[in-house]
Amino acid sequence: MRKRIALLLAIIIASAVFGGCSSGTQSTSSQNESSEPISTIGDGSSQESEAVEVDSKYGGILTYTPGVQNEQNLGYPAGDTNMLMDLNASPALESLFRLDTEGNVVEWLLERYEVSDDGLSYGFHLKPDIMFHDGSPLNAETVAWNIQMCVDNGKTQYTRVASVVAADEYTVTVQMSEPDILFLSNMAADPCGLLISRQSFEANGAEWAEKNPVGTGPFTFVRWENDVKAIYTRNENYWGIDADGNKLPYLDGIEVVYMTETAVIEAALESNEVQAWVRAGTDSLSKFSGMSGFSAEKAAVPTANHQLLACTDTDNPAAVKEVRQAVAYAIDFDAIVNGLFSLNCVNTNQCSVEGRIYYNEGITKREYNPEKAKELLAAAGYESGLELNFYSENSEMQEQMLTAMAPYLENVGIKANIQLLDSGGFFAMLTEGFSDGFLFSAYNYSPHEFGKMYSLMSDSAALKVVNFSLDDATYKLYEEARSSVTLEECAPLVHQIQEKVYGENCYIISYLTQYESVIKNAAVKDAGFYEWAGYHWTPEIAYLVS
Amino acid sequence: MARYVLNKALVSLLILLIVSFVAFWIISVLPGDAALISLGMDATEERVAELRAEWNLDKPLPVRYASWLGDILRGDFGYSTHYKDSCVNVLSQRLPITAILGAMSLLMGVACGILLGILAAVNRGRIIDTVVTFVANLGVSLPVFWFGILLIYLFSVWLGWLPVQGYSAPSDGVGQFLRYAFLPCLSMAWGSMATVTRQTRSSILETLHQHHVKTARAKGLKEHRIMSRHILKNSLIPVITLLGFQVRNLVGGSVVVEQIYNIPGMGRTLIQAVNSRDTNMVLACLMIIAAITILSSLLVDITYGIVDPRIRRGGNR
Repeated sequence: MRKRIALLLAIIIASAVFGGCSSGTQSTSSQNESSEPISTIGDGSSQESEAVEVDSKYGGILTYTPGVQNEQNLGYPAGDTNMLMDLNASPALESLFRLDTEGNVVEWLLERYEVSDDGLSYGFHLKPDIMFHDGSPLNAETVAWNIQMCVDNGKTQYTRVASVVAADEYTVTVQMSEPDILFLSNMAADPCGLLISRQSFEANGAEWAEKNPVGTGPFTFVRWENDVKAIYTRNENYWGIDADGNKLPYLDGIEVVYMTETAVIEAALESNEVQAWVRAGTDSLSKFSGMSGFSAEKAAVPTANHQLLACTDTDNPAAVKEVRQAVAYAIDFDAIVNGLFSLNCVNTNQCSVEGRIYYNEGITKREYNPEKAKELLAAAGYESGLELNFYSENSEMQEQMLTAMAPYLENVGIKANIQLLDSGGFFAMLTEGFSDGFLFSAYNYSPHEFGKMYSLMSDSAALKVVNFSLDDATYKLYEEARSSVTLEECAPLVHQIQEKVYGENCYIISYLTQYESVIKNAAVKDAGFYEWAGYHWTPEIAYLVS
Repeated sequence: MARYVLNKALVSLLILLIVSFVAFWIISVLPGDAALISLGMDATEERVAELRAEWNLDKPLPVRYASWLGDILRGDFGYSTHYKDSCVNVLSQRLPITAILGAMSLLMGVACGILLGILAAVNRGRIIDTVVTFVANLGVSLPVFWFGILLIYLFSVWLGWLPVQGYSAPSDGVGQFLRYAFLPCLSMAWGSMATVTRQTRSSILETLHQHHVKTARAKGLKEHRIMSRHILKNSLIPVITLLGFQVRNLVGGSVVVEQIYNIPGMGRTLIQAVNSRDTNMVLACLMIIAAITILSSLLVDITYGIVDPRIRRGGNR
């Protein structure tokens, strides 16, 4: 009898444990078998065009998670910011512009703007009668003060601003020391472009402002508990109206929940505790993409580039061009990316993707060719093979990538010593410890691919990767490109940079461009996550249906 | 007895001092710069240097340690570079959450563990014993992380009875607090319950065969009286030792459980502080954990001295 009971208990527990495991696996495999592609923003719009009575759009609280817990600043754009601030402060803070998927700036708090032919002076004409949450008006003086504060704090996005003045109540003029193609896009899609109330800032100081965003946005800030939750409630005095003249926003409030564990976020989505997961991982995207009641969408524009950055400045094998080229030839990046990350990533050989203005069609390509890799290694004096260090931040995606890459490298005689570091260790490696081998780096576009290339790799980069440098001619190209007045003028120069950095010299091996993804409950409509470039979304028109 | 307690307290203080130095040294030599992590790659070198100076990260290790030790003796754990607030302020909000959940878990684990242990022992060889022993073995072997996820899927996703994550303070309503606290407490208590069950069961079984129990039976005492006066009293002495261990396990377990259930307690704070190289906050959390661990050991030692005078005498020699 005892044995029977013990056996029964064992079976119950085993089925519970393995049942828990297999539910995810089964759904994943069944979804993989489905030929339906992952839904995109474009596809989603047709679903969202279904007729919904205007009255039914009002009410409800949208809870979403950005999946991380490292926010430190929500309300001080001139302070120390990261790109997530754009996402999580969006309910309360707005910019003069938004950046569309083609890279064009679109007026938001502006009626219009003008740029001089030489690209040295800008005039911004504000919409009238817009108020901050504290009751103070959005006027030219406040906008000029916001820009000037960023200039005074040494924000690299505004290094070419020579002066900024309020010409009249609603007109701001900015004079540049040199033309800057990045200026408007930074104002549109970088956190430094968000505007805060001067009155609240001057009354409470910078430290208070970091934790209390006071802007013109559709929601007013209620409370923020670092690492845990940010709460916003409807701004009854918001300036925006919808196409039918109804007051915006529709929602009663927004809650941002900071979560880290993938399994728990998935459970929270399934139980409707959170309605959207922004920046969802590939595996979760796969799981939810075919699940009833959910939509898994990827960004309309690419958001991050993943690359192998070589240590070029010390006496190590990665400093030899042939070795870098051999690594590029040795690995079938296309197969790995398509096999592991095809839902929201594409294989790419430069810091852009096909169809984008900064993409260089004619870049020197290196298709998978292990024989060529062996030849290059032999030419570099490593015919008997070599060991190379690969440093990476310990993330699921990087770990999968490294695991897949190692056998390819082994095949051509390169022993890959893989070192996974926590975020602190990785930062230390970037700025102090990088002395050999390759660094896996994944950078979010900010505000777009050229903006990020410039802020990280140019000679004017704020904080340079230690022991990594380019030749002088390439550095010069970066400055010329930034000094362009139009995108058409800038693009060919960026194409040349792509060739110098990723093609000809192979300083960096680009292997993947990622599109950020969002998993949403089907009840969430018009949230607009990733409909714009950068991390702006559309909390003002988002609504929930039953 | 007073001398015994004093000796134990002095040794505890010495251990705490050693722990403080080791913790400070390890945190200081870990690669990673709090200023850089806080500012990100878009920061200028000047701004990083400025922030390092502001947070005293540019000073030599012994100077920083001496200054830090002096400060914590005055109750000042320093400024948290991640939370942009004093560590005392942050922990004064977060430590009580960990403490209340820990206390509930301990209570749940010990009370249920003792009851189940007694139940298994008095029914030795029967079905109840088999079931309890099986569940206890499962409790010891299932990792908290895995068990927590299973509980979430069972109670929150499939049954929809309880929230997946979050925390509600008792001041916002006891019912709401219990709804949020149940799964985290169960996750933390499960291991303790299993350990206490196994220990109670084997202690009782051992005591059952001792001479004084046989004598009591021979005297014709009733079974419940024998159990309460002669068996339980003696059997629970080893369980006292376990209590000290359980406090330590719960403090450690809170780090995992708070991370899973998104609870703004000290454990979650510690993880975030480590990731962002928030040295002051990491040290504050480590010192509190060390103090709780050492204090619980001290209390166990003192209780042992009270319960068993032989130990106290040994301490006086």
